[in-house]
Parts: sequence; C-alpha cells; structure tokens
Amino acid sequence: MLKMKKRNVLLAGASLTLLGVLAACGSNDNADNSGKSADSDSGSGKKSTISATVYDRGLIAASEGTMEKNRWTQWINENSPTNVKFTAVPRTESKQKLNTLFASGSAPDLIFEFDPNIKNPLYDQKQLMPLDDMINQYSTTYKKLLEDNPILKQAALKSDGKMYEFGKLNEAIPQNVIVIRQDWLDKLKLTAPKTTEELYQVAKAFALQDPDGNGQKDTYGLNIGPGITDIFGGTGINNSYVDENGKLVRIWDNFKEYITFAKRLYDEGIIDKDYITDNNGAKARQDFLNGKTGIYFVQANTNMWNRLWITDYATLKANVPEANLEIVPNPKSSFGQYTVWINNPVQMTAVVNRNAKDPKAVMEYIDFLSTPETGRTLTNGLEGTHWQAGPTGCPNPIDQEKNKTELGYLGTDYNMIFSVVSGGKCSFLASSFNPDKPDEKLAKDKFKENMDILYNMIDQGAKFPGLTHVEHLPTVPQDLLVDFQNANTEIGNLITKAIVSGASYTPDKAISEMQGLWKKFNGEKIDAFYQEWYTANKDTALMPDDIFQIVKDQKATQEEILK
Amino acid sequence: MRESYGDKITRIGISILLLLISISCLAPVINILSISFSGKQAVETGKVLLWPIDVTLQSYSALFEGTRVLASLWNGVVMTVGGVLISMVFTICAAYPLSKGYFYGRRTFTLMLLFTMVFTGGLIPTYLVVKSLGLIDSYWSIWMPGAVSTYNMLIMRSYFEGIEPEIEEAARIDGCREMSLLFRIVLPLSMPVIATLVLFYGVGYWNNFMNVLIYINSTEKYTITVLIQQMIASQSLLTESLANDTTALELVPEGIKSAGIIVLILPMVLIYPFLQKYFVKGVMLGSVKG
Repeated sequence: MLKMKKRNVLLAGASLTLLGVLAACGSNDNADNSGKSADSDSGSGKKSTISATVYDRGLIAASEGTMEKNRWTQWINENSPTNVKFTAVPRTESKQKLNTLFASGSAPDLIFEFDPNIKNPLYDQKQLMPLDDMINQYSTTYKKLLEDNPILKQAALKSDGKMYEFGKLNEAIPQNVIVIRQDWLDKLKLTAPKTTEELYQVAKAFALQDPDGNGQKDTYGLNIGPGITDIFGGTGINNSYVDENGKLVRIWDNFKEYITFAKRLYDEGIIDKDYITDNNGAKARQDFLNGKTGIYFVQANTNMWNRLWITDYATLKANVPEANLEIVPNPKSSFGQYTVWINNPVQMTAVVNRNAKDPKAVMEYIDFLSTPETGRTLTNGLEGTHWQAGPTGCPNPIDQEKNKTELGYLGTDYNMIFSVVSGGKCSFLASSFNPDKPDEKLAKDKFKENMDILYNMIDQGAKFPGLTHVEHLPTVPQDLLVDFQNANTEIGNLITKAIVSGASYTPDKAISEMQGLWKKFNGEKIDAFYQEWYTANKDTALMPDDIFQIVKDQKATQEEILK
Repeated sequence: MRESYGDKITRIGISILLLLISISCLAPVINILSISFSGKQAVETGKVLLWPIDVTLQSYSALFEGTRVLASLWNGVVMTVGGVLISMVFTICAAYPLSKGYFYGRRTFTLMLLFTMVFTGGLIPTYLVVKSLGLIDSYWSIWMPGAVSTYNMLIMRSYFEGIEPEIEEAARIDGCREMSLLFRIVLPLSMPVIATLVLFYGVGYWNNFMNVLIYINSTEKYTITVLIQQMIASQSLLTESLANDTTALELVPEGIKSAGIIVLILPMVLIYPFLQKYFVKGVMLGSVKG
C-alpha cells in the first residue's frame, strides 16, 4: 500500500515538474516574442533598429543585468540615432558562434570582432558589405576621421580595393616591459645589461650569487615571459621575414639566437625549469612577487601598467621591503637593436553583414560611437555619477567601488570604434594617473621613462621585431591554413624541446629540423603567399615605418600629459 | 573462512595503491577548494597548497555579487532537471518495446537507432535543422536533439531483456495490462539502471557547454557551466590575444575562478552519493521463488 502511494506521489511530482518546466519555457518564448514585437513597433515609429554583437566576458554583476540589457545599452538606445539590439557573443568562443550565426543566415548587422583571422575568412566568403558607399553617403563624424587619418582608411582596404572594416586609432605604446631588481644590481655591484650577452651574465649572477642573502640558491635570473623573443627579433613564424630589395627572405637566425640564449639559461639553472607548464605567466608572477626573480618580463599596456607599478610593486615591497625596480630597455642582440612590441595603433574592430537591411542606420550608429561624448561616457561613465573633472581636466572616478560594479563590464566592448585621437589627451593612458597619490605618480614617471626609451630607440634606428604587426598580416588561405597552423604548433614545440633537451640537442640541429618541418608543411607555398601579398600591399599596409611614425605623431600629446 | 597472511598483505597493498591514486585525483580539487577560501595575497603568491591561508569568504561574495552565478546556477538546474525527465521518459519508451521479443519490427527499429550512433550531421546542418524548428534560444534546442542517447537506451534495453520473463507471465496471469506491467513491475525492478541513466544524463546536461553556447543566444539563459568556463578560458586567451585585445583582459582573480569551479561541481558532487546506493543494492530479491 505504502509503496504504491510513494510511487504515485513520485509520478505526480515528476509530471508536475515536467509541466512546470514546459510552462516556464513556453512563457520564456512568449516573453521573447512579445519583446521582439515591441522593439520592432518602436523601431518603425521613429528610429530604425539594427542588430549588433557585443563580447560577453562573463563579468557582469547580476544586479546590472546582462550584456544585452543593462544601463549602458539603455543609455545607447536613448542617446543614439539608432536603436541597437545587442547579441552577446562569448569572448572566448567568438569564432564558433560567429561562424554558426553566419552559416545559418542569422548573423547580426554589425559585428564587433578583434581577430582578423575570424574576419578575413568572412570577407573571402563574401559575407561582408563594402563600406565605401555608406561612408560617403551617410557618414559625417567617421568620414572626417578618415580624412584626417588616412591610415585608418588604408588599413580597412581589402584585396578588391574597397573598405570593409571600421576601426579605431589606439595609443602606440610598448606592449611589454622589462623590469630589474635594482637593489640586487647594487648589492652585486653590477650595471643594467645593454646587450644580450650582458643580459645572460646579469641573470647568471642573480641566480648563482644569492642576491637575496638568505644563503640558499633559490633565486631566478629572469622569467621566460612576454617580450623576451622580441629582443632577438621575434619568433613568430609568419613574421620572420626581412625585406631585401622587395623580396621577402625568411630568417632563421633569430630563432637560433633565442634558442641558444634560453638553452644556456635553462641548462645552468638560471631560470625556472617549470616554465613550460606555466601557461599564463601565473607562476612567473608569483616568483617575482615573492622576490625570487631578478629580471621580470611582463605585459605592460593599458591597465597592466597599473597592475605592475601600483598593485604588484606594493605586494613585492610587502614581501621584500628593500626591493627597488627599474626599467631595462631592450638589450641589443647580435643582429642589432630591436624595439619592444608596440600596441596595434590602427586596430580594425567592426565589419558589416552583407545582408544588413539598413546601412544608413548602421553608419549613423558608427558615427555616434565616434563622437567624443559617447567615447567618454562609454569609457568613464556619466559625469556626476561616475566621474568628475579632475585637476588635469580629465575624468577622475568618484567612487571606485560603485564604478567597479557599474563600469567594470564596460571595458571597451561597447566602445570598439572610439579612437584616442577623437578623445584627446584624456583618452590616453597617462592621463588616468593621479599625481597627488605617490604610487600613481611613480607609475606616471615610469611611464614617461618607458616612452622616452622608445622614442630614443626609434630615433637611433632600432628595428621592429617582425615584418609588421600581426594584425596587419593577411590570413593564410584556406588550403594552406591547416599546414600553417600545424607548422606553427610544431615549430613552437620544437623551440621548447630545443631549450630543455640538454647538451645533446644543439641549436643547429633544432634549426635544421625546423627548416625541415617548414618544408614538410608546405612552407614554400606559404612563403610565396606572403611574398605575393607583400609585393602588392607593402606600400599600403601598415608597416613598421608607419607604426613608428604614429608613435612620433602622438609624442607631442604624450609629452604634454606626462610633464 | 579466515584470510591467509598472504591474502591480507595483498589486500592491504591494493588498498594503499588505490588510496594513493584517489589522493592524487583529489589533490587538485582540494587545492581549488582551499584557494577559494583563501585571502588574495596568499593566492597570488602561490602559497596555498592543501590548506586555506587567511580564511575568508571574499572570493565567494565577489563571485555572487559580481557575476550572474546565481541566475546561471538556476538555469543549469532547470536545464538538467527538465532534460533528465524528458530523456528518461523517452529512453524508457524506446527501450521497453525493443526489449520485448514479440515486438513487430524490432530489428528494423534497432538498426535505425544504431545508425544514428555511427553518423552525425555535423554542427552547421544540425544547427540549421534546430533553427528551422524554431528552437533557437530555448532550452528545447538542447532537450529535443538530446532526448535519447542511443548508447544509454541500449544499456536500458539490455537490462530490460535481463528481467526474467517468468515475472511477466506471472503478472499477466494475474490480469495485468501492458501499462501496469511497465509501471508496477518492470520499472521498480529497474531502479539500478534508472539511477545510472539519471546520473549519466544528469551529468551530461549539467556539463553541456558547446551546445548551450551555440544554440542559446540570450545571456540570461546561459547555464553555470558556460559562465564558469568563460572565466577560466579567458585566462588562456590572454596569452594568445596579447596582440589583439588592447583592453588587457580583465584577469579574473584566481580566487573567484576557484570559487566558481567549486560552485559548478558542487551539485553533481552532492548528488552522486545518493544515487550510489542504487548501484550497489541488490535487485530482484525474492521475485521468483523456487
């Protein structure tokens, strides 16, 4: 008897849950449908509606809503000449999601995406709308930006001579930095390294001469981190070319130098032997913060600069009170002096779906995003609520905690069209430092020092570590893509293997194996592809000379902020 | 029967070996658990190993206040419970007739179902089919295509076939009809396989990442798996996209990530023990005497 009752209760419960779930889904669909129709009603009335993507990084508080519906999408829809319906695309899976959306014909009108390897195939598959007409006919603000900054137009051109991408101009600043423990240098009576050989000597001294004075050999000379390969000219497989009279010649010497250098460090115990498993630099950072690393290679653009000089320096000093950090310019390699890798100064960020129904509305939205007021709001928030004008005339945050919740997810995801030149000096990183606070003043002074190092190097003829910025290289065509990716992976593995395999595996052997691999994966065809592109595009694509020129163009603004 | 000395040694040896293996599997999880309860400084300098340092709940409070964890947790529960119910109903409905020898066309249907195990349409064609049914952006896009896993269905069918026909005959003699036979005789005897499949389907739906990502468009419907995966994946993205994304990715602090991971695996970890006993419990006690 009891068993039957129990089973009946279970059955009833199960069916109720099932019904409840069905009802919930039903109501969801209804809500969606009614939501959609409401939008289109308001759209046909006054403003047109476009659909756009926005990155979802999973960092939005529940109280703020979702990336598709929050105070900022509301602000945009209230203030923009177009209504925008946002579709969230996960930041880390944008390729899959966008491909699926395009393949099924349900992609939004305006796609915001950084990665050229996602956008270039879309162009090849003829999924994108050319922008020349819509800019000429409907644009005001963005059109003027293009006229004042022709490089922005150049970078948007594709092989058929038409523009396909909207973009923004960024600060051309160093992407990485090398810092050194000056207190260790003083203790061991050494000077900062100026060549790669000196770099090796100083790192060796740091590792073997017990600079932290605790009697144990527990210190590292340096970490294998971002920017270390740039000292040797970079080890990007698609970037290791040098122009000899218009012909692209592949160089392997930079690989060999780097392998020889790193191998010596590894074999002599100067670096952490576990660096291979350190995926994102977390262990290297830990070692540095614990005062165990003498020379630290780290990313340094945008808020990473703050993180290094304000947060991390404080942690380091808490662990090691006498720590003193100084910046080290890129040491000179045997092939010459290379600058650090520079931020992409001309970044293409948006494309338009060929099937977009209302190009005029899309263009008006882009114009709206390009205005200084929009840019400022979508970066700093609303005046009086999130910021007020500070002593330098630039926005200073009012309440950091509140800003963290309300602005934290803003990032630049809604703002991917805004150029720093439109925003003036307040859009530059250096303006965000408050000189009244000692730690921010230090960050500002160090930033100035770092920029001066870059200016000097460029003036003295230093080279860019690679053919050009990777975002301005073309995507390898479909038939060579798999080979290219395999070559990339295997050569990367080979470099690691060469470094850690001890005396038996010499750098020369590694290089000959690398060349063999390159040949195996159709390297000659890939080289031919890049040569063809280079010959056709070397005057119009963004090349290191253009990058250095932009650095110089921005010098006046930077110096004014930093003085 | 007394255990001989040699047997005892072997048993202890095997136990120690298994214990070591279990510990090596558990150690990373315990590490994550400790990190989620540790203070920021300790985590960043890598001092946390198996025991939390500076015990604090700040990672959890940051997680619950700063992200949509609660909403996505609820979404995950809805999707899993709904999915399991639907799947179980359909799997039982498929397995039961196929287990009866007198079912006309049994072989044909079995072959048809087996065929689906061999081939799949691929991502885009499947997406187009689901889209044409109007299921995009609804949980039905995950429930409908995933309603029956042929593999699970075959497990259930084998189990049903293993139930002795004498029971069925005995019931029929007593006047039992088909539906009653299913509900009152077969299913109660099949608790172990039902529990097993509930677990398989449950874990499958809970962990479903790619499908949710592709088929669900509104972020408010995202499940917790997608949310936490985003946080973790963005860490590895950092190294790749150094060149691309000038907003240096807002690094999700280790503590919040670890708290997220714990929240993600907790429901499954809690349910497992309750379903465990069904695997172990004996079945068909005294069903057919003599």
